[in-house]
Amino acid sequence: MSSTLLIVEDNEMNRDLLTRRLQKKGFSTVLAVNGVDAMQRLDEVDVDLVLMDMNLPVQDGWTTCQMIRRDPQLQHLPIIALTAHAMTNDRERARAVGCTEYETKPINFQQLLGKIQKLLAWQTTAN
Amino acid sequence: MQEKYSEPQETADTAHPSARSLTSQVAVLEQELASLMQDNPATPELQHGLTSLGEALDKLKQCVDYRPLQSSPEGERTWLHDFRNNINAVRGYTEMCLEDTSDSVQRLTATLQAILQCNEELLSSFPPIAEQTITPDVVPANDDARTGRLLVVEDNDANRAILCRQLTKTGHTVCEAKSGVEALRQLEDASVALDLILLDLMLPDMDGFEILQHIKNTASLREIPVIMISGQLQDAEVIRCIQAGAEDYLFKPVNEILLRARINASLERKSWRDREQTYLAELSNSHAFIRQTFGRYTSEDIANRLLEHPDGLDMGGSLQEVTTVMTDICGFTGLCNRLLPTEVVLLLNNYLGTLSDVIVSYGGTVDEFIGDAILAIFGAPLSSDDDADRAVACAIAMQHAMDVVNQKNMALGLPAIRTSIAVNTGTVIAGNIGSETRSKFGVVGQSVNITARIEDIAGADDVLISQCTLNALQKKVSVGPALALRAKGLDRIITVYAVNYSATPSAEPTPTYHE
Repeated sequence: MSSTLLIVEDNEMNRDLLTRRLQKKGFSTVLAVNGVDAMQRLDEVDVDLVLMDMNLPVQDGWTTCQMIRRDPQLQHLPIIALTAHAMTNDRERARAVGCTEYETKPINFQQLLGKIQKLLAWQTTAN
Repeated sequence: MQEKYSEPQETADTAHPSARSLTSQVAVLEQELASLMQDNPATPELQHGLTSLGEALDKLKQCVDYRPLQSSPEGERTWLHDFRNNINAVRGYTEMCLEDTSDSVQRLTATLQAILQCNEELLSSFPPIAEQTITPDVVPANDDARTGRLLVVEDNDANRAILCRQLTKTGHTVCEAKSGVEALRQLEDASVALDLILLDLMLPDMDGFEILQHIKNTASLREIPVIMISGQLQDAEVIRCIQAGAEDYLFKPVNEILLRARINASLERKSWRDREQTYLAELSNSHAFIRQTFGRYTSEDIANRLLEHPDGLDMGGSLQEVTTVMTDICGFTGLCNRLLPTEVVLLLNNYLGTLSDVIVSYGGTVDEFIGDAILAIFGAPLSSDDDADRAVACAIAMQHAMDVVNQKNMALGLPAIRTSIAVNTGTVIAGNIGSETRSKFGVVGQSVNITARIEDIAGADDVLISQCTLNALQKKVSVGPALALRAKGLDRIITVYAVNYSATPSAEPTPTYHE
């Protein structure tokens, strides 16, 4: 059974790009365009991992990560933060709000894929 | 707009000399793509990928062309974010195309790799902003750069797009709503903390005025400033909106400078209100602190009643009948000479602390520590019928508590001490005495002086009460023979009695004041 990834990204091109490339690698994808949307998707669908852009409209990724970590149902869900890395301290901030992993844009896809597989493998072992 | 954003050909003269080479690099990328498309790639999948790559290159070009020349750190950060998102798309689509290209199509592979390389060069010319330049969570000290989370409610797509773009470039986070219903839905979402709403007066489904009223009638939304935007140049409309609680009003076409100024002013006012809220929260905390601190010297019941009726603490006073209790350590001056200063303080704290607890537990108020003496009041600031009874019971309990004091002293290697206690009842002036800046609740009057005189003649372990106190008692107390006290400064003889407290069963604090 393929793992389901939630992609939270407001930039349409990047959302399309990630979806296409991840589907090619055999993942199922669920999409959200902002933090509020993401929380709703998480409510509706069983998700194995979240790819979260941090700079989002309506409700940003920082707040959304904190909300996920406070939710007893979701607190162990792996989150990979995706930031445009406009600031050098984004990595520390991502860690502070509870992200499991961190990738900067432009994304090194092979590296991202490695992180996704590693986190999913851990989760399977844990379960 | 015009003075802030420059056309590409002007960029050579500006603060960013790399902008021109950047533009030309994007042009190279586009040329590569054009030749690539001519090769008429085989699979539809690759065709799809190449089309997307073309779009991504367009976006990247736009982004580079419209780089703000002078911008706030926040604006610069927004641009950089946008730029890296576009670079990301170009890299991703190119890599995807490369995966879909068979090795036999060598020219295609080479071109895509050239695009990748240009893309990476472009990326390396704009490193991330160092952390110290701006900390995202801190409001910039420069008020010109105040930014916030804005909701733009406007049905016209073009107008909304322009507004959003202007606002985003200024560094604001912008949410959009096309209709009244959508606006209300976004507002209902409690997780969104908005700093400002730009509201079009004419909407297809609802009147902007209705939305304004809804916002101002909803407690959780009331504090968000609303700037109305309208095409109508009618004063009556403006007045109606301002009266309904709109922060400001703008006419279409919206002048960008005016818009920025009004948004800044609104955000500034909101930030003050937010600060005020924080201050109120702090005040409420300190209120709790007062309750706790005050509770150390008076019963919590009295502290609560005082805090609920703060006028009870007005300056000035009132005449009240109170029973005052005064205690003193016997031979304290001698002790001070024998002990180290630190030991004296230990001993005093032990004594004052233990006895204060007893006083508070009997519903009394510790008015003052005078050296080794305690002055406690029963009947002020709030009086009750059994003030004298509680005062005497308290005095006896304090004598019993001396065992506890001395056990603690011995554990610390300090000498045992004994205390004498005087109780008197009479009319005093009770109130806040002092200046506005430094005042305390207290009692003054002849009755207090008499208590002190009685205390002077009280011996170790004594509880001496005056005739007035004896008269005020509701319950019978066993006392010794009457003693006449003629003291300096008193115009009459005071009759006092020693309480036979060892014969009196140790009285429990009265239930009214005891928890």
